[in-house]
Amino acid sequence: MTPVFGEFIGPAGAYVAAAVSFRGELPYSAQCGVVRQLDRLVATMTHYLTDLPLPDDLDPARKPQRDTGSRATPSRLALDRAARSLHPAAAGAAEAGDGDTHPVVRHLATAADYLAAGRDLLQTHFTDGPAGLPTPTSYWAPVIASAPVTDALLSELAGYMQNLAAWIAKMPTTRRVSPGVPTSALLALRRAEPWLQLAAASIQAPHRDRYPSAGRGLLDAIPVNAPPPRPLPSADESIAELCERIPVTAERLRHAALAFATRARWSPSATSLSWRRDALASAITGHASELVLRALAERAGQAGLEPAFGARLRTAADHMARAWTSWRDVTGQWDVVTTGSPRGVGLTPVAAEIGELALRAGRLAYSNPHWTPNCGDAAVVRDPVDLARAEGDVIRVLAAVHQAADAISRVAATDQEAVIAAAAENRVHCRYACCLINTTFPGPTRSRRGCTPTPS
Amino acid sequence: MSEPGASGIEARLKHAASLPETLAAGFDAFEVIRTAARDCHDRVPELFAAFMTVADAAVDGREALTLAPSLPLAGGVDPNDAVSAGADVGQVADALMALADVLGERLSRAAALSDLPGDRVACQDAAQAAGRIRQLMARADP
Repeated sequence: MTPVFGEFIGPAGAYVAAAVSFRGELPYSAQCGVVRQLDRLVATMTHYLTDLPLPDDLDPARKPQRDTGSRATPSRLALDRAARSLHPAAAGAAEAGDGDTHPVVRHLATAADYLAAGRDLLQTHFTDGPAGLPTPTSYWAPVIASAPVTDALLSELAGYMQNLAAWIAKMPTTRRVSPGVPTSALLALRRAEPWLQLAAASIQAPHRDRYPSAGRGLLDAIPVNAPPPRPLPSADESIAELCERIPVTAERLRHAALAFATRARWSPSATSLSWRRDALASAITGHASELVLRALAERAGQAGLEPAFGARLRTAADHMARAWTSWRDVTGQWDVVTTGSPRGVGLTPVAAEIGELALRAGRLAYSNPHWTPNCGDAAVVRDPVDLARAEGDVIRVLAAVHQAADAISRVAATDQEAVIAAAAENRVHCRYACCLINTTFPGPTRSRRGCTPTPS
Repeated sequence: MSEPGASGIEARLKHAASLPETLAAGFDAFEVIRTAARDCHDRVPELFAAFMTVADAAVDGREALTLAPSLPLAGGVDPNDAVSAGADVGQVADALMALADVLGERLSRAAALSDLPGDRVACQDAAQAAGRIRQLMARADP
């Protein structure tokens, strides 16, 4: 399973809540431990706030609609002041590690660990651009920078700050001081408390809970930007397994498409062979997906689901039909358009794997679990009841088709850019225009092996 | 059973007396296969993927042969070489499988007899493409 942000932010909040539920008097060594861990927490939350406005810089058009940056700035300044109170005391208490075993310190330490790991996860979706600006490296990057998600994240962090400040404020004022050790820990906490309070208030005041549920759901669902392990096709994959693995293959393709896009201009494998393979697999996947959508529409009617749902499935099938016929036509164009065929350059990562999407889509559509494009494996379309026995199966199969279609559209976008770039560099040629039979591709008369650059 | 339309190009392959003739006939055979597959891919939904993939493999084979130094520059497919568009899809599949069989065998033989490494590699790659076409068009045993 791909780790998601919710697996980090959820426990972080739970451990902060566990820490602040302690109502007793902390021994001095534990106070020192609290200072150290709070210093870590404040530093990590400051990093989060520092990260937040940066994605907005990528999209100036959205700036007028957003106030995340302005909300984060006073909070960040307040956290900076809190850190100035905590950090010297934390540095001074670094040697006094006796209190680290206290439950409160352990809870805060674990919360800081989760929070830091969550930030690392978010950072995988960006890289430093030429001018130091963050450059998105995933399709999730715009989601992370979106208003609902940043608001959800700010609300979460503000909640931590608020809880920690309120807890510090209620700490007993009596101190047990070990002989010879400075009594700076509690004082440092006291000095940090109003700044934490201010940091929380400056986030929460303007638009508290503006996007309460949708943003939080998206925030929790943000995956680490790394391709999931490749699920190699195996014999006898059940429908449930196909529905589970198609999204994984789709995610791998999306990841590979975006990762390769940055090097498409100079990579030797950015050739018509790879683009032709992508178009072929997209056509087959789309063709199979149309069959699946029509079967689902029929099944929705049989199962007595909302008529509007069935109608939408039929509309989706019609759209899918238009998509795969376009892909079919694209493959026809690649019959006569080429970048040349240098031997041994291999395929792009997408082209090397996209056939697995077509294979699984075919196995979902047809009744043969061992389906392949071979004539010998041809089979009739699956019975709708076989495809989706229960109502929930309709949604699962539909989700798989959606994932496949989304991956294809992402691959199409990156391939289109790569082809345009190749054409601009005169790397795309119309071959064999005169000697092919039954081709309508226009072109001047040429010898068999001659090439005519295509119009850019 | 007669195989509609494939005999012309098959005969050219079988009677090719030199490497350039084999390469030219092979090139044209891949074109015949590609065109026939394109004609058939929309006729039976269950065979859409098969014919689409065959067309793709035919382009692979043809592209491989263009790298052969001994491929003649001039020439082209004779309209009589084409597989009959009116034939039953199953018959077309059989015809393409048979043609791919001959094509693969001739190209493998040409590869073995080639003096130039470029010709040999081109024939080997094209023979592989012919093998894929044969596999794609082979129908299940009744």
